[in-house]
Amino acid sequence: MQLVAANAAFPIPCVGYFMGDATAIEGSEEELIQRAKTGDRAAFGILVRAHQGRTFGLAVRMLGARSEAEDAVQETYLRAWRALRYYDGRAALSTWLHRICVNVCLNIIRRRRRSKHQAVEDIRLPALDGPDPAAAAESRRRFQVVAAAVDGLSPSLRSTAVLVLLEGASLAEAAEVLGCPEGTVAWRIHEARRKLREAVRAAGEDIGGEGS
Amino acid sequence: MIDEKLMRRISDALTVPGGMDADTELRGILERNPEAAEYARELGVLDGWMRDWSMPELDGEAAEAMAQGIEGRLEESAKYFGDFSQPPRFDDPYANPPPAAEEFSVGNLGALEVQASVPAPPKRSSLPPLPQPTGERAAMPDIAPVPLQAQFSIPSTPPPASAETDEASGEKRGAVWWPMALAAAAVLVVGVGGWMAMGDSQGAASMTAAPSSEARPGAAASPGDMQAARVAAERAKLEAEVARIRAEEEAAEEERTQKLAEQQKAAEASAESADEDSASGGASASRRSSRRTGTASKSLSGGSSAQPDTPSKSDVLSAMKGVEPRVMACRKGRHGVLTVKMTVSGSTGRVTGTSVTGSFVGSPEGDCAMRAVRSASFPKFRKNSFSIAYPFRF
Repeated sequence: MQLVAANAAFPIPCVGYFMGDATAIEGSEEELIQRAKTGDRAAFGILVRAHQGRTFGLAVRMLGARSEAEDAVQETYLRAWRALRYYDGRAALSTWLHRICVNVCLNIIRRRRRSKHQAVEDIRLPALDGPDPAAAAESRRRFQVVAAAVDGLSPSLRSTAVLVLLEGASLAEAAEVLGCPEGTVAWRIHEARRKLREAVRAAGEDIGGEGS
Repeated sequence: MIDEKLMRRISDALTVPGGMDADTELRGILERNPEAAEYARELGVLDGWMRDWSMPELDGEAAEAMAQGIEGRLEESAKYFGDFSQPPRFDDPYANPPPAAEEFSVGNLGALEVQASVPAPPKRSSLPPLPQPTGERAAMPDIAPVPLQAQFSIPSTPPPASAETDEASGEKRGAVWWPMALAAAAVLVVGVGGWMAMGDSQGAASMTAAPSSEARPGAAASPGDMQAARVAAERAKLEAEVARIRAEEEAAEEERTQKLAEQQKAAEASAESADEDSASGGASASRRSSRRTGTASKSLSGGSSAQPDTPSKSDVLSAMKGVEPRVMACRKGRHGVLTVKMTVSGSTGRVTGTSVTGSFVGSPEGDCAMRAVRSASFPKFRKNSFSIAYPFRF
């Protein structure tokens, strides 16, 4: 993942769709942000379409459930729309959106704990269909263990691990999203790896069975 | 068990581009340490699993439906309160790395450039624990005197003294006094040792300054008794030295308290006048004033000992980063540095008074920035309040 790639100079090769309006809208991300800041919903719609895939990916990795991830994406962009006038362009828009999404997901996780959330279908797990059912089942079981281990991490470790280990963000990118020093991110990753390893081993998964 | 530092190093090596292969020294270590090598290998496998973990993506139709759903709900955005574009705040124990080994705490007050208005009582716990003045021979070495560091746990490295405030000069004082105290103690040890040696040769063993429970006046002193007496004398001298340093620190603290209280009064007076001048009017100023009074009286009831004395530098930066967009939105084309001086309440972490200094005094930008900064939120801290001047570049 390249959070910084979608920076202000990144021209969005997109065609605008906005509530039936088929007028083509093109422009750089910076222009679109400026227009969205003035209340241009079409411009904001283009930004949504350019970034929502990645936001959805992050929400899925954080939450697991499709319905929650979709809600998180919607809430992320509604909050972004509301706060857009405060966006000053110092961080890339994608970084800013990721930060909002992390906050929204953490809120959902917090709400889950309060409402004794019932587990629903985890879309992070691989499907059981495939040419080799046994391998698919094995893969699903393994990722079930890993997903449970990720979900068992504390909010700070979970957010950091999702960004760095699952999304592939660099320490600097994760530090920008999480608003903390890179050293803190590195320390959290170290802790998260250790805890993930312990949890996976405790679940009986053989990590040593594969070469690195 | 694998060393914690080695585990961290393995994790760091896995995180950087190039992975383990880039760190030849670490590879050498792992070749000699099979347990660590196994740990590294398992982390590598786990990393691989997570890298290869494919997640469902939004297909074109679902993405378009979602985007349209968002566009259709933009009006609803007003119901989402709170600024979620700020960095997440974690309160779990893994949010921050554990602090390094406890150092001499006068130096741990931080290099934050703040002026604490009503400092907390002097931190007695900041001084190293004193040894118990007992004469237990079992705890005494029979041959060599007890090393000073073993008794007093004095830090090996003095804390950095980079700040320039009164608080920081307290740090510097602490950093300077301890080496001096150590030097004095060393001189005393040599002096007392020499004196005792002389006294021994003259049959004056019974004249020890602090006789141990096993010292037998009038009896011929054994070498062990002499050592015990020497150590007791050293302890007595060092206790006196520590007491003197404490008294001096307390006196300095009191002096600083008075000085800062005066500064605080002046700052609050100027903040009051700035508030009254602002467009919000006198009524709101008086409400703020009453809020301030309430806050102050509340905070006098005491704070949690787990809270820091004042917000750390990073706390201040984080709080200011939170309001910076709002302050920047106050910019109306004029350039320059707008410095907002603010007073923060320790019991609430809220800004209780603001004033603008510099060329923006009385300007619409200044008034707007003062209002924006009032929404800043700091972590709660032990002292009643502290003041800080923060520059915003327009």
